[in-house]
Formats: sequence, structure tokens, C-alpha cells
Amino acid sequence: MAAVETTYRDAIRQALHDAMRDDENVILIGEEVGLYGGAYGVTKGLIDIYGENRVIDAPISEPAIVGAAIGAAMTGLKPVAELMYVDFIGMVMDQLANQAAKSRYMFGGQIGVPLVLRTQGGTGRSAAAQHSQSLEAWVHHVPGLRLVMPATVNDAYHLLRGALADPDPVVVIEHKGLYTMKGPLNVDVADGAWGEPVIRRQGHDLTLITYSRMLHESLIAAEALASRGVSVEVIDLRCLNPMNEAPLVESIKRNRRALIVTEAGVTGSVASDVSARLSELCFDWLEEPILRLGGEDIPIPVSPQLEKSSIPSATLIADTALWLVTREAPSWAA
Amino acid sequence: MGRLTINLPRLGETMEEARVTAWIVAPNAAFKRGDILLEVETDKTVVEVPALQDGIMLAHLVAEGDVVALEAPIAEIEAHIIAAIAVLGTAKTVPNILPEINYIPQGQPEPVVAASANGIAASPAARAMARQMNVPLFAVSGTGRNGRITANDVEKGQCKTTVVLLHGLFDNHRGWRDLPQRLMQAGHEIANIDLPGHGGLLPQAQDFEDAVQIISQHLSQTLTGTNVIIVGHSLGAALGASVAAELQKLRLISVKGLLMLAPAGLGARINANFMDGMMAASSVTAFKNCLALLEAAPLSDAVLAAERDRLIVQRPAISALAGSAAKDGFQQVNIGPLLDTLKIPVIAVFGLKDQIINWQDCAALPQNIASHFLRDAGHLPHTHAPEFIVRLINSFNTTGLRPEQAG
Amino acid sequence: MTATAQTLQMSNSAPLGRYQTMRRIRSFEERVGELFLKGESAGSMLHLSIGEEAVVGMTDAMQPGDSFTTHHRGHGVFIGRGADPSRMMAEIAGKEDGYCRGKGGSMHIADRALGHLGANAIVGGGVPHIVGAGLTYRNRKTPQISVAFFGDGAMSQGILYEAMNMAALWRLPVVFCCINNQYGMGTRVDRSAGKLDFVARAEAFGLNAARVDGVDVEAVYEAASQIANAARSGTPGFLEIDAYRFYGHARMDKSPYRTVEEEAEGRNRDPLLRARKNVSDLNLASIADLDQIDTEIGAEMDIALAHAISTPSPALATMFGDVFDPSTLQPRPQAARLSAILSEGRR
Repeated sequence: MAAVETTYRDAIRQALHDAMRDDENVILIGEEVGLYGGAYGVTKGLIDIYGENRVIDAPISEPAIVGAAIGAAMTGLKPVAELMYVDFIGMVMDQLANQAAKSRYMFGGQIGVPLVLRTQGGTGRSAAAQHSQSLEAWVHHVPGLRLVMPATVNDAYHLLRGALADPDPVVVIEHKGLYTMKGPLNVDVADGAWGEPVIRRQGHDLTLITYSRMLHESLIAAEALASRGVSVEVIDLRCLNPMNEAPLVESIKRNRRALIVTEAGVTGSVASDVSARLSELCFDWLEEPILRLGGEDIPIPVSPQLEKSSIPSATLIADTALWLVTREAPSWAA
Repeated sequence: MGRLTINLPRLGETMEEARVTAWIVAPNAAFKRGDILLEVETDKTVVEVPALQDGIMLAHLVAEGDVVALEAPIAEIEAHIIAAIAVLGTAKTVPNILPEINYIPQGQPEPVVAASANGIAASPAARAMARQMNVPLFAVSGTGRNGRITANDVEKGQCKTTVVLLHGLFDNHRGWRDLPQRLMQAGHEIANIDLPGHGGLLPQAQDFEDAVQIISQHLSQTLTGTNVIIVGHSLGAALGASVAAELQKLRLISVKGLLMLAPAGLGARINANFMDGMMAASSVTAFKNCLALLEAAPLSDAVLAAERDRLIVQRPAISALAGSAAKDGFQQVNIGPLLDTLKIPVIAVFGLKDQIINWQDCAALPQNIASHFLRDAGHLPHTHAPEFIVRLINSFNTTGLRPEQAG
Repeated sequence: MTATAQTLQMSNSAPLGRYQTMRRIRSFEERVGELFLKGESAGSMLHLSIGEEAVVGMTDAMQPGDSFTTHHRGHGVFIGRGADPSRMMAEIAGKEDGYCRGKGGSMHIADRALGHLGANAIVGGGVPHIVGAGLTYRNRKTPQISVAFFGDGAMSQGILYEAMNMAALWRLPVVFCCINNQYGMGTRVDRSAGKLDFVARAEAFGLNAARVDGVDVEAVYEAASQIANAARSGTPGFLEIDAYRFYGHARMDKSPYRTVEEEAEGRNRDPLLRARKNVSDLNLASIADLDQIDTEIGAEMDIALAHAISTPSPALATMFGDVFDPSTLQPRPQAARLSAILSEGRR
């Protein structure tokens, strides 16, 4: 089937729709997923097609939503639980990290939890400190949890389908700033295999590794840098667990410089972990330390100006990349 | 009163456009602040657009069913502007997607990445490359950030090796005969130095140690960032070993090897007749007899006379150095312990017919120093077998230093 | 001082004063919606409490020094406790002059001086804090109470029941005040509760519990006074105010999940009109007086709106402040970290 132009939001809905059509065990459970159609409109209309038994509007009881989804997964259903904001993950962390993630292991491989937890994070809407965070590191730290973060329309579809095909708990973190983004969707052809990073732009001066919304800021930056004679390879991680590091290592060995861009605060971030892993693997090929560019280590402020300045922009990414490659210091250099 | 165009406001977090589902206020109808003007359907839900002031609807600019972009004009109204709001003007533009980053970081001392006093700033890639190519890092000048050595620097910076020639006591740079020419033909740069007090640029030395410092500083100033091979003869060999140790500390020059020809500083004795003769001889004949002890090819009388004249002039400047090196037939310098500390390849060459210094002094060499013995050579092995000496010098270029030793 | 302002001061705790406070809430919330439409609000997460103004019955039953926490729909509660609308509106616009210096916004307004321990964007997030406040007042033997304001949505949160149990167990001076506006986001309360008797739930923990009609602020005040007084003497309470959320979850949401008929019926239960009629019936103010009060309050709120728009945004460097106590090590800005790595000529 040929690619069609659609939105990130509709691609996710398409993935849910196709999965529910193909397998009657797939259910949706979460706050406002039914009648309201999802806080961001992702599940709009699905209750009309699949009914209230498969599209379940839950009370505002996040721990029990995830806990119930775990039980359903243990006993044969294929639940897609929705956490309206990733910020609420603190409330469900016990169910996620102590129950879902560890069940297969603690019980000697008997009881797997094929659960998908959909949620969304990120800044850009002045939703303030409790509705704007990038908390993928909390999930990333837990053995037993898979974690994917789609940046493109096609990945929004295929990574969710991949999550549904995975026998273990998978957390899918969408970005609230991408739902209306348009792009091609080809339901037959994924951008890359499950766990594989995808090179979104080729370049030979710098390897820029990123994921989620920062992919788009990074691509804008790479385009701007091309006119300055700096060639940036932009790699989209897509899957944070599982993650095949080989293409990253191969790229860094060629380019000898790497920049990891994330929206999350840098301290304790996934970017920090990826940086450490790649430093270990690419040590003998590096001309510069693998650099991390991320959000400031602060809660997200509500003021639009403060919020915007607290996370990387295309300008900041381009400035930093240029500084790293050509040693041309930006105006904000201290 | 004022005529205003109403644009479609942002009505939801992810809204980029909306479809007009119903106009509530018809053209020419009056409305109050807060009245619903129209309903639109966004990507999420149906939304009401209320009036922000009292007024009269003049015209609908979009029809029911139209899909309207964010901030696009939707209606013309005649507005009754409220005093407190009137001064405020219209809504701001949509936030720029590329924000200016111009904040000034708060005043906190920023940790500076410290370069350790002894460390060489080189990227991991440069270190790996240097290891692979057998290039000592401190011989490479860095062009990277803060002078850091890059892999590229290592690749390009396979710098030429300079052979530093240190002649023996009483001799000068001409004493090497045709060795410099042979070395240049082999592709080496040459620094053929006159020892302190022996003419040339270097100041007079107070003693042996002083001469070591003078030579080391001279080399540091003239050859920083290069590789050198030190070739020393007799006292020049003892000086060369000491200079190599000094350069090893300074880390400005990479010493790739030390070749000692009939080296002084290993044993107890030295030929007192030679020493005394060289310090005292005034006639060409006496000078010739003295030089005969060297077991070298004979010189013409004209050259002998010129050398004697030079020596007579230089004796006062040489005497301090000579006195600190040997006295009454006994050597005053012992380089044995120092050779132990050298981390570079060292080769020693002895002539078995040496009448100035006993070839048996080789017994004082550390075990890891290679020695060659030339059966028919005297105190000047390089004049006896120059081809062989060039081969020994070339061999340093292929052994080189391991970076671990360098760093 | 105008005549109406004098009246306002004199009748602070009386029905007229409550009407004025309710009118201030209504006028304020209307302008929050306008702030958003003008593109001047910090984001769109603006949850209006229009229709729920009878909460003033509870805030009036509190004393100076009492503390409270609110949910994300807490503008009305804070105005009821004496907030400055200009600083509130400035905060909602994300401005430096706001209550939280432009860091918190609509969902995170707080003011320690007025006892506001914080609005919360996590459903149920602020509820347990009153248990801790109650421990403080009990241990220090001060006659204060602490009140948690939350919606019917929080009745589905486990932490609420943990907090209720502790309050009852330790006999703390606290009140759980549920403003039941019938909707948790877009889900009607009967679609989120197996049994709708919230009072029975509270009573099951041993709380002094009551349910009151949220259209009648005087009835709320009466019930709230009894519950607050009991709490002050060590019997924790629960008050459910039965109200109707006139608008959507956020300002512009037209609520497609409910019918036009239901909405019309709900909006008929307008506590503000009821209070106005009550004040008038009791001859506490003439219609003309009330009109004058409404106009003055409208003007006050227009000024708050204008102030919020014109007052400056916080300086960018302020983003690093308030993460930790200012006397301690502050977060390092990223520019400083990158400079330490990439700057030259400093070794």
C-alpha cells in the first residue's frame, strides 16, 4: 500500500484501530479514552466501533488503571493502558516498575505481562511543572520495561504496532507537540526494525543522536549547518529499549564527534546513559567528548519564554554543533 | 467604537485549524461581551468562540463548513472597546519556533576542565592513532581545542627527525667528518652543535652539569615539538645521555633514541696523556702525536695547524668543562645510574682499539642497552665505519616510543 | 472610599459579602477566558470554576491563619480566601509579578501568606498535605485548621482514602472539601463511581461528613461552619458541595459528552443568581446597589486583566532560581556546562 499523508495523532489511532480489528483481545483502558476520545483526541471514535467493553473509560485512578491492565495482560488480553500525561507516572510507578516489569522474572518466566502503556510528555504548551516533563529516564532505568518514543508519523504507527507485538511491557511515550504534525504513513513499511536507530540525515562531520520531538529541531539545525559547510548526520533512536548501538558506533567512528540532543533535563537522562555507552564503545575514535545537549536541570516553568528557553531549540542545537565541530564559539558562550 | 477583524484564536493545545460548525451571531446583530459568536470543531472537540467585547457583527469572513487556519480572519465587527483593555492593543504574534537563546547564566564559578601539569592534551582518537603509527604524542603539535592533539595532527604530524650531534671534548662540529652529509642523504635533519666553549653559539659552561643545561635549553628553544635522535661521541655521549634525561623531563621534545660512540662517563680511567696533551700541546708535532692516540685517519699539516690554533684560543673556555669531566686520568662523571632512568632506546658503540677510554667500560652499561664493538676502530668509530653508524641511527626511526611511555 | 466598598467591608462575613466574593470569582474567571482568547495566557490549561462559586460558603467558614490546598480548578477558592486578582491573573499569564513569579501558572498558584499551600495539577496530589498541616497544628496546639479542596474526580484516587483514614485515626483539625461539579474532566461522576454516596465513604472512615446543595451559598456556609468548628476541636470533617461545572474541563471545551438539555438545567442552578436574589430578598442591598457592585468588580477585574497583559515576563535567568533554597548550591545552567567543555584559552 502506498504512503498516505496523515497526522501523528491519526497514525496512532490507525495503529490502535488496526490492532483492535486484527485481535479482539486488544483493549484500551484509561481516562477519557472513550466518550471524550482522549485528552489529545487520539482515541476519538474508537468506542463507537469497538464498544465500551474494549474502549474503557476509567475513573481517575491511575495506579489501578495500570494494575488492572497488568492483570488483564497476565490472563490473556492485550491491554493498551493510557496515562494521560507521563507526569502521572510517579503515581503508577509501583505497578509499572515493581509489578509489570518484574513479573516474568520473579515468577521464573511463567507470567509475562504483554502490556502497552501509552502516554505523552514534553514541553511547548506552557502546561507547567506537572504536565510538561520528559520522564523517559525513569522508565529507562527499570529492567524489564521496553521503551519507545516515536518522532515521525510513520513511527507513531509502527512503533505502537511493534509495542503490541512485544511479549513484554512496553511504554510508548508520545510527544504532545507532535500530535498535529503531518507526514507520510505507510502501514506496510516501517522506518526501521524494532530496536533499530534510523539515520534521518547523512553527514560526515558530526553524529547527532536524538529522539522524539528533538529530531525535528535537530533536522532544522542540520539544514542550517549545511549552509555553513558543516555536515551533520542525524540519527533518530526511536527505541530506547531495545536499542541496537551498532549503527551509532559505526557513525561515530566515521565522524569522531557526537552530540546527543534530548528535551529531558540532562542530569540522569537517557542521553547521559547513551553518552556513557558510546564513550565506552567509541573511545578510541573520539576527537571530542560525546556532548549532551538537553533541557536545563530545572522543573518546567509556566512562563512561555522561560519554558522555551529551558529546552533546546534548533538555534541552540546548531550553535552547539558548530562550536563542537568548528570551534566557533556562540554568543552565549561563557 | 472601532472596526475590528477577529481572527481564529487558539482554542486547544494541539489546534492548528478548525472547521466552522455554526455561526451563532448573524451579520448586523449586536452582541455582548461573553456571548458566543460561533462554534468551531477543532481536532479534539467542538468549541465555542465568545466575544471579547460588546459590538455588532458586520460580516462573516468564513462560512459554516469552512476549515480555517489558526489566526486566520473569521469576522469583521464593530467593537465597543472597554477602557481598561483599549490600551493593550492586539494579541501578540504566535511564538517563534526558533527562540533566541541569549540568557546570561547565573554567576557561579564554572569548573574548568583541568589539564594536568604533566598530561598531554590529545583526543582518544589521536592517542589511538599515535599508538597505531608508533608516534610519540609529545612530538606532535595539537591544532584542536585548547591545543589538543587530534588524530589528524598525528596523521599529518609525522614530523621529521632531527639528529643532534654532540662531539667530544676538544673537538668541534667538523670532527664528525662526512657523517652529517651521509645522514642528510638518508633524509635526516641535522643539528650539529659545538659544545659549550668549543666555538659556536653556546656560552661557556662552568662544569658538566652546566653544559647539560645549556645544551638542553638550546635544543628546547630550537627544536620544540620535534623528534630528535641524539648522537654523542666520548664526552658528547655522556652529555647526550644527560641531555636525553633532561629532555625526557621537559617533554618539549621527543627523544627517539640515543647513540653513544666511545662514551665517557662509564668507567674510572681516561688516558691522562691525551687529556694533558690536548690541554698543553703548542707545537703542531706535539698536537699531531696527541691526536694519533685517537687512531683516526691522519690530517694534513694545514688542517692540524688550524685545529691547534683553534684549540689554543678555546682552551680557557674548555678547561672548566674538561676539569669537571676528568682529572688526573680519572673520569669525574658517571652516567650509569642515569642510563637506567632513560625510557628510550640506547645504543653504544665501542672501538676495540680505543686508547682514550677503555672499551671494557661497556660492562657498566645497563642490560637493556645494545652494544656494538668495532674490531679495528679506535676512539672515533664514526670515522672508521660511517655507513654502519648511519644504519644504527636509522634504526631508531623504526623502533620509536610506545605512547604509554611517552604519556 | 465608595459607598459600596464600605458596605463590602462592613458585611464581610454576611450574605452580601459572600455575594460580592462570588461575583468577584465569576468576573475573574470570565476574564481568564478572555486572557486565553487574547493569546496572553501561559498555555491553555485554564480550568474555570464558574458555577461552583458557592465554595465561598466554605472559604468564609475558615479563619485567618487556616491553611488549604486546592486542585487545578482552584481560582475561586483562592479568591474566596482573599487573593489579589491582579497577581493571580499575572501568574496565569506567566508573569514576574504573579504569585509564583511566572513559574507555576493557573494550576500551581500558591501564597503562603494567605495559607494557600498550593494548587495542584495531579488529581488528589495536594490532599494528603492537609494531614501534615493538621499534625503541625495539633502538635503546636494552635487553633488552626487545614482544608483540602478537590473535585469529584479525586474521589477515585486512592491517596484520598489513605489521607482520610489518617485524619480520622489521629483526630486532626482538617476538612476534606469535595466540590462535586459532576465531571472529572469529561467523565460524568456516575460513570466513574460504582456508588455515588461520597458522604457514606467519608463516614466509613469516621469523618464528620455532610453533603450540601451547591446552589445555595448560605446552606454551604452553615454546613461548612459546623464542620470547620468541629475540625478545630479535633473532629476531622468532609463536606461535599453539590454543584455544576458550567463550562468544559478547560475554558473553551464545549463538552460534547453532555447534552444541551443537561447543560441548560445545570446552568439554571446558578449559585451567583441565587445569592443575588437572596441578598435582595433580605433587603441587604437594592438591585441598583448590586448592579453598582457588579460594575465595580467588573472594572477591578478588567484592571487585573490589563495588568496581567502589560506587566513584564520574568527575566530568563530567573528560571534557575527557586529550584533549591537560594542559600544553597544552585543548578548549573547548561551554557556554563557546555562552556566548561568547549571554551578555549582558559587552561
